[in-house]
Amino acid sequence: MLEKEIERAGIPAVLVTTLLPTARMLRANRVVPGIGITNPLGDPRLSPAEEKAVRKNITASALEALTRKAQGDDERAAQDARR
Amino acid sequence: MIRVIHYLNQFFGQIGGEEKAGIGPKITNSAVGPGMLIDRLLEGRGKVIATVICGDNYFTENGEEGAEEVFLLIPRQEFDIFIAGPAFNAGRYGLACGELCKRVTERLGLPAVTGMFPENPAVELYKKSVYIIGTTGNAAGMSKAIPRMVNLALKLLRGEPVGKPEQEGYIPQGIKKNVLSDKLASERAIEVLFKKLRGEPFETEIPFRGLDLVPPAPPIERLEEATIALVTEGGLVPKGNPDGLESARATRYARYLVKDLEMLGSDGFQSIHRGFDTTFINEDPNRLIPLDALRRMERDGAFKRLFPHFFVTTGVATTIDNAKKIGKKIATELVSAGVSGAIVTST
Repeated sequence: MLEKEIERAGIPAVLVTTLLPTARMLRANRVVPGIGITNPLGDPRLSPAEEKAVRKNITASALEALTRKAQGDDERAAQDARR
Repeated sequence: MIRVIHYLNQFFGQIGGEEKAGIGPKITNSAVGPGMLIDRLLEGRGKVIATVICGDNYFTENGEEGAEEVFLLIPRQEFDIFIAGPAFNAGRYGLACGELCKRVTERLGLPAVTGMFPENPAVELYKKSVYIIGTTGNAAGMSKAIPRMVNLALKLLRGEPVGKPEQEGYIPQGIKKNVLSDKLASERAIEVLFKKLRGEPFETEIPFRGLDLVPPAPPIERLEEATIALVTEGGLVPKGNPDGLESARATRYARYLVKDLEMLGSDGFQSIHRGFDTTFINEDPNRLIPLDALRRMERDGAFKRLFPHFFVTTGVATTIDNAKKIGKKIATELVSAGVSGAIVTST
């Protein structure tokens, strides 16, 4: 919901979350998948170095999402209809 | 004999238009204008015994005293039901109708019904405490509105149970009533599923909110010149939660300075979010707010500037209304600070 209000104000906002079905249902415009509910931008199973690399990747994806034109809901609906 | 008192503004009370909106309250012992429709509907069973008329400006500009002055005209005679308006989309008229119905209900304990266009600003203020029949935006809907208002008022008078908004025609009050069904929830769920699969009409038991569509904001054109802000709903706060941010059912947000930090340390921050196990985040808060990664990218010139604060609220059991309010306030701050883009992290 927060990212939708920020977008509504004209500032691109990307949501990093593990709950992708929820994000889709609530029609967030820009979503980047997180790793886990307890660690969206991290992975305690990895070594610290590996974790930092993973975090950097997700963060880079998030920044990239801000620079890409986001699909509006009409386009998404058309896409869903074609499936 | 059902005795009705009817409230009208200066226009429907046939006194005049905007130029008469300042007139004070008066009372007549018969139906006026739309009130005659009430008389017709109740023919033989009841009638409008008094019509209270007041200018919209008078009512809304004189605060408590004005409202009370108008209200006091009502209990001067014994009556059975109070009908106000309908006000359609007129805001001041809606306020007067809503306020008078509320007072009649609360202080006289008698049935009171009004009617408004759902977008009338008075609806938000009064829908919970007053029955407001949904009407058209203008008086073209008078002949539909009055019968619904009268019928609902009669139901209230007879002590009959009031049906759902869709049945009775009033604007949903946001009230959930628990009712006992003879079917298990699982049976009802499967029934709805089959209806959906067959393309048949179905009724949801709980309407789903939060589906409003927001057109995407334009993307950042030059990332290297952008200011990026971090926002989270993961409840990350300085250790000890100095501002007492709510750990659930949030009603506000906070802003914390990270300007001189290269990363978030576990000794400095904690998550107070009650909706998930915060162990991993407390071990390394960068797993929720990737300050370390972003700081490095800022140094590398991927973008110009990391906004000096991050914004935080707690997204568990937070109502949609509060989430929206918090979101709008954060958005306003970002806009005035000239932030180019936001990364919102969530559990």
